[in-house]
Amino acid sequence: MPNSYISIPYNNVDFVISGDYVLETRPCSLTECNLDSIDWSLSKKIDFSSSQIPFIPFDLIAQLFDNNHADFYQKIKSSNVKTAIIIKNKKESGFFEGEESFALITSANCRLLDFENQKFVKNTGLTESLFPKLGIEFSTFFEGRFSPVINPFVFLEKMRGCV
Amino acid sequence: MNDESETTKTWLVFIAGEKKYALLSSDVQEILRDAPVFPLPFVPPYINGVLNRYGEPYAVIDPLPLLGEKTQSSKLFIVLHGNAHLCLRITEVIEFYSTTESDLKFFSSSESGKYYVGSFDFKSEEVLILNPEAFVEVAERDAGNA
Repeated sequence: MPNSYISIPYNNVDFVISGDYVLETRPCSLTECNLDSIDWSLSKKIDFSSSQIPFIPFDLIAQLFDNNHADFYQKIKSSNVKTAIIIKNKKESGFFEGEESFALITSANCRLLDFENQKFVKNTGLTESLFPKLGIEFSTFFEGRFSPVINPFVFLEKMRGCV
Repeated sequence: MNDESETTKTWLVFIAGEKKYALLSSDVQEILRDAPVFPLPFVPPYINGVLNRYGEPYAVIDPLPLLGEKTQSSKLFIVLHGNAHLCLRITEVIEFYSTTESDLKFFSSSESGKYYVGSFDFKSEEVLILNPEAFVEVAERDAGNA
């Protein structure tokens, strides 16, 4: 079973950093990643430039879309972080309140996918009522994999509700 | 009215889990085999995820948990007609089977539960007729509460 590609609309992304730039993550206890390990109190932050940004392991989001959560389950250590996607926070979102940005960190390399010629499907039928509640704005099947485009704010609020 | 003028209906008879069920053939758009199902987060267990039907995501429902039975792991799906873009996971297709009106036993809502319309005898065995609308309704309701 292939895993899903998960996309974030580019207008939600401030910038993406990868490689050495994210190696200096603050020591944290993210040796085991599960929903309980998300620290919504913002005590764990990723260091970037001279600021600290609260983060969420993006792999957790991917894991939620995977058929076999146990197989795909990845332990993230700070030294394994390869990519951080910096999301501009919305003041009105109530998510990470008071923070200008938050980061989705992942041990995987991110790809900037060329969706120029890709057919995105508007939600229809049951997915029309279901997907927006899950934070899925559009979806497509890219390289045979289900590829939801998620609104990070809606999705993470949903995720927080399940913690 | 004689027998020759009696209306006939055609059913898709199939197995889900260990029991036989039927759907009106006109409710069946397509039968898919071995399609990968991509799970979705935050949904009830009977909503298995989505599959790729000609580039569009169709929600996959395992009807058995709603019927009080064990879940299925089969990779056979009935695509339902209609705008719901919904598939039912089943275990095995048996055959298309025709009946007359008089062969059918319709349930009252009190005795059937909303998921069954009625039943008929199929080779000396009672086959339960599923109400596809009920699955669409419960999925839409739960989708709204997701």
